[in-house]
Amino acid sequence: MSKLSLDQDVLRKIRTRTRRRFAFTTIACLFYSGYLLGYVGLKDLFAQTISPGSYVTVSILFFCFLIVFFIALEFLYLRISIAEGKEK
Amino acid sequence: MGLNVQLLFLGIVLLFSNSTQAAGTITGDIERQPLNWSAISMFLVFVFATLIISYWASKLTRTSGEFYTAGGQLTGLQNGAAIAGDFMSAASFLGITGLMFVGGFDGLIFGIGAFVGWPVMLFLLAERVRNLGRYNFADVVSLRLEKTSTRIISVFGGIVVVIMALIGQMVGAGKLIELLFGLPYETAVIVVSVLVIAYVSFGGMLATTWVQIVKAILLMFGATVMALLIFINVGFDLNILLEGASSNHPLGEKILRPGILFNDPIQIATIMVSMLFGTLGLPHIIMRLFTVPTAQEAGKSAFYASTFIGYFFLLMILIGFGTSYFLIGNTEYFGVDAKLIGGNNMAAIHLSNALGGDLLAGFMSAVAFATILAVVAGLTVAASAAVSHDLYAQVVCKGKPDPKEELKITRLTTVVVGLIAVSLGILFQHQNIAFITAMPMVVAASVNFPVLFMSLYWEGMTTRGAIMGAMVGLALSLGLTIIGPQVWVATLGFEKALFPYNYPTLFTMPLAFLAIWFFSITDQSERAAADRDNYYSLLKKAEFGN
Repeated sequence: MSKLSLDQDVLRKIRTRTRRRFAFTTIACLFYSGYLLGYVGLKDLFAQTISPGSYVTVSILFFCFLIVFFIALEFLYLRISIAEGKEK
Repeated sequence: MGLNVQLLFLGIVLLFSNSTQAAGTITGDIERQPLNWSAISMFLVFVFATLIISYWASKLTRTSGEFYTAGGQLTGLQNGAAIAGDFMSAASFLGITGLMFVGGFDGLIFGIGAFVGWPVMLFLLAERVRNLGRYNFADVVSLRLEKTSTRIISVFGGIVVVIMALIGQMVGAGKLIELLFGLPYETAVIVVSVLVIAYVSFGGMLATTWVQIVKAILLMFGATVMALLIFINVGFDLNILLEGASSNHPLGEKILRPGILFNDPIQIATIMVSMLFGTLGLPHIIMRLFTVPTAQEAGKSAFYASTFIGYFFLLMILIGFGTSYFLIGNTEYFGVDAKLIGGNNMAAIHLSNALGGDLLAGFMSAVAFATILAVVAGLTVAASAAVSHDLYAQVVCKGKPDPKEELKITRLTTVVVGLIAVSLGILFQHQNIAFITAMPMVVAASVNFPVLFMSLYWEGMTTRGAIMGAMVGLALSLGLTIIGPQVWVATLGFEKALFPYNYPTLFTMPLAFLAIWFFSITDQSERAAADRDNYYSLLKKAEFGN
């Protein structure tokens, strides 16, 4: 089957989904690479505590944030996919 | 399992190398502990329960399809829990805790690396792979390309990953069980193998799935109890925990920030790349996507898996820093040489003892043993499927095998894999296996993932491109690992490594992609034209499932 023989509506839907897949992946990879900043560019920031007198560092907070953020991102992606499935 | 393998590597590093000594006076070598009867009793209860599960599963496993995919009717939640059970290993619990005991925050890098593979699995692979394949990732790759050669290369990549992972698991199992239970190394390796053969050969993927689910629940329950006890002891104040941990630790507040264990940004980047993309190329993890009935359930599986795994790693912050808070300064857990009794990998078990006495320590030790069984069972199913489905059914029988014969070969392969695992476990007992245990993630990221990803997303990929890409990825992974520090210096005894990084994925994976691209665009054969034409029919099926 060639590209031209695919229904244009189907092709448009596939492109929309593919763009969404890559958009979500890019967001995930960007935030993930932020973890590396704790070892290079933002070393001082990541070593700081979140407030005076606290022992919780930005790096520990960022670790927790990443886990919660990625789960939320997945949840959002799934909601969109499921909603799209229902529309179809 | 990615994580299993990776952290087993860490465990082995902790056990065999001097790298942790740089972190200060806290270090330890492997030493067998006295027989731990409470742990052994609890483990026997687990074994009894899982053997009953296997017996039940064997009644429901009548065809090879049921053997490989548990009938394909699991829910996303069940499969997600099983994936978490496969992924959260004894070594992730013991290894990360041991690393945090030594180096604080840096120990968490492997946790986040493995965790982030799951969102990307959901976004890029889960749904498309589920819609295209039947039993494993070789089905997906060979769908639009020349079947025999791409299936052989996919099987080869998969088997390399599984065998190396098995070596890591078996040696790690022997050592850890020696530590936790006081059982001799060989006994531990044989016990693991016999039980896994029983689970897998009778109950196939269904038994494996439920063993993994039970183990995931036990591990999360145990970790939750430990975290709660830590929190109760510090008055539910994280600050008190971190303050106490840093004041006890020889490195002080440095343990709360990055930079103790890892300092080289490229080393960190290549570890992060290995963990992320390695997870996406592990054959036995991808195989789990076919145990659910629809692409949507496959997506939910990835979501539930990352929720469980993420929760576990959040607990690891408390447990990891809890080791410094509760253990350092407590002479009960240190030998006369001022080292942690049993080595740094025992930090989590000692902590469970400090928090909940022999009962909790016995429970966590039993969970660690159960974890090894669950992980090895997953690997064994993947290896059996690669041989019986890909090589026998698809290559030898050209896709038309006798179903009874295929199932018989599948079960026979399981027994053979179990025997190979015992042999390799004993053979590598005294070897420095750090490089072997690191390899599965590197090979999965540099061979399996590029081929799988390009077959799903690039119209231009041809059979020649896929084969050359896989070969370049494999050759570079092996080559750069051999001339890297783990083999060139630690194993072969040379003074300086020719390649400075333990994980070459940052370099090997892009080169594998480049090889796929180059050998595809220069391929003007008739086969190449057919490969390109097949893409759009595959694309429609990948997205819509028909």
